[in-house]
Amino acid sequence: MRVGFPLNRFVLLIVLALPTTGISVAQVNEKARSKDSSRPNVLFIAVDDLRPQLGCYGDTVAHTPNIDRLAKIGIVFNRAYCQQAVCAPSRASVLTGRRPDATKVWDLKTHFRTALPHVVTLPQHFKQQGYDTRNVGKIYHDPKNAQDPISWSAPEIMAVTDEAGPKYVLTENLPTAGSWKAAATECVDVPDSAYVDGKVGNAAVELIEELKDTTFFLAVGFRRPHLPFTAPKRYWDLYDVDEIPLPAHDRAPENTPEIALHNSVELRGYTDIPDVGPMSSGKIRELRHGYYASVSYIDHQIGRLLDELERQNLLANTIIVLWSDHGYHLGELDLWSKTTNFELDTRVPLIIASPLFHHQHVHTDALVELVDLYPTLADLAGLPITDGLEGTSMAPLIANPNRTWKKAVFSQFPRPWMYQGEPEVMGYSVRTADYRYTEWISTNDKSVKAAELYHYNEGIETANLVDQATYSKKQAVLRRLLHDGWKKARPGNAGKSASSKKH
Amino acid sequence: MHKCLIGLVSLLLCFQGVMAGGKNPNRPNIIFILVDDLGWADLATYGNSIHETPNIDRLAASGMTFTDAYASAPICSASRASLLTGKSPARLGFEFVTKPDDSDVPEGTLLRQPRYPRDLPLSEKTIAEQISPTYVCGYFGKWHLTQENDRYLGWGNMFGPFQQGFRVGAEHRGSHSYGYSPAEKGTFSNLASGTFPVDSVTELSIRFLEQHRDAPFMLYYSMYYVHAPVKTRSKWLYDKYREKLGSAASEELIHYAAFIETMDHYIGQLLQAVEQLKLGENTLIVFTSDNGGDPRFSKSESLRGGKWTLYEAGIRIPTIVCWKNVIKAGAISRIPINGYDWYPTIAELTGVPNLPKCTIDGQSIVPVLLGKGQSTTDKNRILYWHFPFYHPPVVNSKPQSAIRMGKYKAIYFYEEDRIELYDLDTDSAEQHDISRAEPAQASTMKKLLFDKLDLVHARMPVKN
Repeated sequence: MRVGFPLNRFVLLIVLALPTTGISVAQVNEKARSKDSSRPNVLFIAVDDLRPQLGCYGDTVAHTPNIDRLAKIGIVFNRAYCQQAVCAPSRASVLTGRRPDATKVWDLKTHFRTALPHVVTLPQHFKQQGYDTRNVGKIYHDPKNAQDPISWSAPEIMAVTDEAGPKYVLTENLPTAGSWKAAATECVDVPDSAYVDGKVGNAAVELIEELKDTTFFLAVGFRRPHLPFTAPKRYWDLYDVDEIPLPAHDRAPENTPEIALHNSVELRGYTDIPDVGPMSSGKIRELRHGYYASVSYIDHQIGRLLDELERQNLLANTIIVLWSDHGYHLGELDLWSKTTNFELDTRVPLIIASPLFHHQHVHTDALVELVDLYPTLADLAGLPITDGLEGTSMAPLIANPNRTWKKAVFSQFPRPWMYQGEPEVMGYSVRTADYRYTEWISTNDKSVKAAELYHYNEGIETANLVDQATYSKKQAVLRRLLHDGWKKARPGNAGKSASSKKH
Repeated sequence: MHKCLIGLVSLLLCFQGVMAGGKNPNRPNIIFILVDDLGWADLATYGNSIHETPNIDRLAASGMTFTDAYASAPICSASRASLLTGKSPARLGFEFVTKPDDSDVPEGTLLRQPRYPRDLPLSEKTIAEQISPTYVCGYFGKWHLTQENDRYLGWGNMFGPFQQGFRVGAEHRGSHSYGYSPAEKGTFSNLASGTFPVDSVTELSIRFLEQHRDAPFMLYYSMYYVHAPVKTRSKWLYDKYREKLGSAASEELIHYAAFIETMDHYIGQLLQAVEQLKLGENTLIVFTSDNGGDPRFSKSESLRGGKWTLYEAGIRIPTIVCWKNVIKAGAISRIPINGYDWYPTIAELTGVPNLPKCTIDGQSIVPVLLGKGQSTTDKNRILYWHFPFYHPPVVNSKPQSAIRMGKYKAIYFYEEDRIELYDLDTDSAEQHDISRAEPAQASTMKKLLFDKLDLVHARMPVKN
């Protein structure tokens, strides 16, 4: 299949690519025009609940040699943000290229096709452009009714959690009539394939072999480090429990409205966690150890995918993207898990890598959003960028990681969580290079129920500065940014490459 | 006896804080004392009231005694291969005693066992090969990992200790009955009361210590005792145990008891040399056995089975570890360990860089030795055994595999596709199979076992 796209965009890309050396993004596109088989493959790796607690993000405890290896051949986005810090809304946003207010997916039940019945998803777009699109593991949200078969060239593999494989192996943790939730961690000396992600790794490796002669978009979704932190013992053994740091800021920020916080209900559902009240430092360390172990377990699976790409001589012509649906709290701010608008929940790891970029250890501090992935991948693969996308292609940024980019990025979260019917309040949040401003707006009368302003001089929220005189000017600017919305925060000229057709 | 051990464990827990602050272990010499076929209940320190083993008792009093130490196989060669490589016999494909290629296989069996293992491949990197860049490694005594030799138990010159990282050594049989001349067999020598025959394996080992006392060294002192044929030539020793055991005791039991004390005597000689050479403070001494006791001689009511079976008496073995001023004297550990753990343990202590963790089964027990106890992540550590062979003599054992995790132990019998489950906390004698009472646990244990075996590509018995 021949890929057509407007000449003006092609020319623009060549210009943008000039400062880089070697094969540029533009040359990839040129190849795509001349020879279909040379269009790049896409390996799209989604990791559930992974915050940037990785070697390549500067974590000195994390043992993540494979993700670090990926980072070495790509670009690491130091400041990438999700649009809503919980699974289904974030994934719906990424995969449709629309923000939660467009998908109307703010909870874990709604399918994006309710509000957008004819939307062309990211993989579906690749499929329509001749790619063989496949899904192994959790890409969309994981119940059966959250799937989207039309996105894929073949039935999903292990996409539905209950059918995919076990969360636990110990008898004491096996599901009971009441709930599948048992202990929050499990450390048993089992092979990788004893848990679902090892099986997903196996299936993905097999699929790479199967797809090696096609042009593919392979989406591989890992479920850990989502709770429960169940990883084979050998990944726990990579860490000395005494070296696992306790949370540096374990108190809620000063003066923060209740509505911004939660009681860590997700974690408290596990049988070894008290329903209310504090946890022992031993349990906190165990949970943090389990998270690290789970991350290393996934890192190993990712390494197997990279090895297989290499073995099949596909690495040189494959674009690999690693992302997580949102960040995570591990006791910081006295919070566990996600579902807030805070930094640790909204900031995600994002790496886009390919030998095609000729990048070596490139990091960018540019503010980017997960909703940008759709136009970016389409752009990098030389596919048309369709109407209605609410993100911006990062291709120009990948070509020149130091260029100016978005002024701000946006996230939101509904309250109460979880709500029935419609959310009562939506917390809209804007993040700039140094600040975050959030307004909790009533769905009914649009009144502002609470507001927050944080200055990230310590990298985390320490005190809500809203309505303090010293920050009144700052607050006004941020308020303006929030209400102007994402469209006005886009990079000046470069944004056109992604959204010129929309206007 | 168990109560006594538990009491000591509680006492020990009080001392943990003190011990953890002990001396930083730094590249000690290693003396690995490997006894052949010594059963768990054969020593006074493990509760035996007949056998006199004063030297081992002293060793136990000066170091750490393991109540739940295991051999990684219920049979000689497999266990030895595992000790040297840190891998389980299943992973090595070396689950039985080395046999010549044309060996007979048991006839009329329901299942077909794998081919007999023969030589430990040179591609395996032994602990001696790992540490030999900085350690002088000496091997004395029984090897039993090759058939490329000119006599039973010979080392040969293709797959022997010298081909597997040991620089010094001698293939002597010492004073064991393997070396008796036809004239000596069935007779007593005229040894004075209280004296023992000279044992060249011990003498040469002591000479090795003298020669290499200044260099970091590893001595692998691999005794032929107390393996059958059990036949002492010390009349006074025979008489002593005939009296102790009473007139109803069989000849074999008397000779076995004499063998035990003889073994203890040689170990005493070696330990005396260690003391005289002032090596104690910088030497880790490991005393252990290659498998459980031979059920014909090693009698115990506290454990079930014996050599060639995966019940506890087949694999649970005495293990004592000493290191003056580092390991607390008189310590008792109930943490389960397996023979393949010595490889990473020695590697850690001797400073081997980049040990390939993922391709071995062993796990360093240095923290345990230092009194730090069991880490929380080891609570569900799995120990496993794989014996896909028939062994009709003595016990008529059939293909079986076993797994231990925490207090649970399961044994799987291939012919019957049947699993037995035991709670070792309450039933270390394995008298009450709880697989029916706890079917979910039985099925989990079976799954964990087969996950392991699958992971290491274990050779399986197949339908004939």
